Amino acid sequence: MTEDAEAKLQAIFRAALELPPHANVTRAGQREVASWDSLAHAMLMLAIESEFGVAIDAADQIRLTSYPAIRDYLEERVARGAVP
Amino acid sequence: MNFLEARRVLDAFRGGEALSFALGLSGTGEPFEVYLRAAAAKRGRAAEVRFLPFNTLAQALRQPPDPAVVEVFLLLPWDFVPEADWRSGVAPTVDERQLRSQGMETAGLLTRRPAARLLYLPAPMPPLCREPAGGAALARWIESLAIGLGARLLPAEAFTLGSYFSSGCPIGGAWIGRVAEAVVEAVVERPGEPKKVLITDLDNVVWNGLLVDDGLDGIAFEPTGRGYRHFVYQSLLRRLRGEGTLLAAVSRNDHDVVAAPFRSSRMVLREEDFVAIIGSYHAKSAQIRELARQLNLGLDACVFVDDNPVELAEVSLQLPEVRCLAFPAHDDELPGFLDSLATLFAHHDITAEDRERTEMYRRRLAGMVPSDFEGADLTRFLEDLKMTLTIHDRSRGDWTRAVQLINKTNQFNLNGRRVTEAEVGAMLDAGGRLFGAALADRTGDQGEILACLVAPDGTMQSFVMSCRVFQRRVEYAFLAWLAAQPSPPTALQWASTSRNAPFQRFLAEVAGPLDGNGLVRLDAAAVAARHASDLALFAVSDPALSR
Repeated sequence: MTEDAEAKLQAIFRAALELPPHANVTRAGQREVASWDSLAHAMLMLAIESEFGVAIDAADQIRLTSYPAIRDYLEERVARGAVP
Repeated sequence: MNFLEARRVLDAFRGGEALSFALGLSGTGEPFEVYLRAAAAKRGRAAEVRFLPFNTLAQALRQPPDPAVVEVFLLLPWDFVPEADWRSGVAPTVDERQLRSQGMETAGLLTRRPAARLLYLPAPMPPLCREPAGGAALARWIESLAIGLGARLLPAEAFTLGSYFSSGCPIGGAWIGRVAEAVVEAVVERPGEPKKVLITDLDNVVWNGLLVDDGLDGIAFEPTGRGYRHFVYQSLLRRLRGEGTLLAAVSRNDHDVVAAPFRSSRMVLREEDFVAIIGSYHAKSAQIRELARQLNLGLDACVFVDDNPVELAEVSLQLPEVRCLAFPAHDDELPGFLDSLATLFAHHDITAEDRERTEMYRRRLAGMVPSDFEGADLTRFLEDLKMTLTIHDRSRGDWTRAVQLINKTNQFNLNGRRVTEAEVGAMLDAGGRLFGAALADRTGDQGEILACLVAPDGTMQSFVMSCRVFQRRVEYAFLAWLAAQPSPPTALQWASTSRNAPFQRFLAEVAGPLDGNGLVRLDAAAVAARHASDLALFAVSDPALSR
């Protein structure tokens, strides 16, 4: 993942989960972040779709519950050429 | 508007006048909030949004509306036909009559909320009907119902199944910002003010039939048989005109041709009932924009009625302020449609000035020249139609329909030449080729709509297409396909007629400037390359040719 893409992903996390501007989100997981409820998760998934131009399957949306998992998922989509 | 942009807009927003509304949809609305607030902030308004609880739209429609609340309903096919909801799986059996009855019930409930803003998302539906054509017809019927209620049409690709399955939000991330902007736009439009201009299509709307192909004696508008629906429509327009509504007509035709029925004294409506009758082959959105400019009225004062979903989409996409209504395809839909029109043009006090308004504006519009501006880019809409072009080699076997098309088509016609079956047979025996093409899309089957006859020397002798499918790029796609075949045509036998201006425009575009009648050379390789993107709009099948 490029630096720009990584920075964008982190900005999405902070905004969607209402975290402070400089919060380190690179290890964030749904269990540890109190604001990461089901609505915030839906917003996070839509935000990622909107910013990265991907459509995420329901089964993937359910398992993408941490920053590393989402980062890996996007990297895999990039490798498959699915991210424009 | 993407997510981070929406956040930036909100971070920079310093507050403004409140914009309160309730958003109802079958699913979760809350993920919209940030986008709705940002869309309102861009207009200097502070959105205060209330969402209906998850999956309570059907119940909410059965409650009386609160006049103090601006309601917006983002409708999906399953709001009309609950069995079509993906979250319920595929129904084991369905009764199509029952489905339509449910749809009519929902439409009836929505009609009772004339102040509500409606948006319709024609999301794909699971295969409900045994025959695919039945499913496509049902989808088209629901879409017509929604448009008939005055709903703004959203692009079908705004729906994503992944998001709908996982969170209940039917809109995917790629579209949620744009849909939020459409919702806010619907909220801020001036409510309740009667519309002032009714702009109507003519063929299969004011009368039944295609004037340029069927002739004045072949169209129907009288209170009998197939003319009944159009007679009733005309009679409502006559009443509205008497109450001060301005009537205008736009048609893909020549002005003199379309004015003839109004001059015949056989119809309810006469030429002087209209402030303008515009015949033009350019985009209808361009004619409506010019008309509103000349009348010095806002586009939000206009209502446009057409039977063709492509024309409605073009106007709706290009001029979102114009209320677009689909002319009913069935008699059962007529009462609801006329009711919507009468509501939009409700005038409580009618003055002498109202009655004389048409004459006043007719004088102002005398000499108005149709606009030649381009219309909306319909590529996305056309892609979404999932069009299939089936090309048949009619050189052997049944060529009845192809010959019939050649002999009855006037507008999109290479040279107006009529042929006999014997002439066609002789040309084919000598090595000529005859092609027919049928079009189908997710809204239904259009049947065989194109015919092309190529002589043994490679000269195209006839090329015709039904005007029902104008604007779908069928003619470009077919020519691109033909140009890519072995032994493509090398020239076209062109002749101008009094009615084939649409073909002349097409030919100048594909073959370059024309220099009178006669042979026009065709650079097949260039045509195939230039119009490959048009061909890509279609799934092409050519069963007989591939054998």
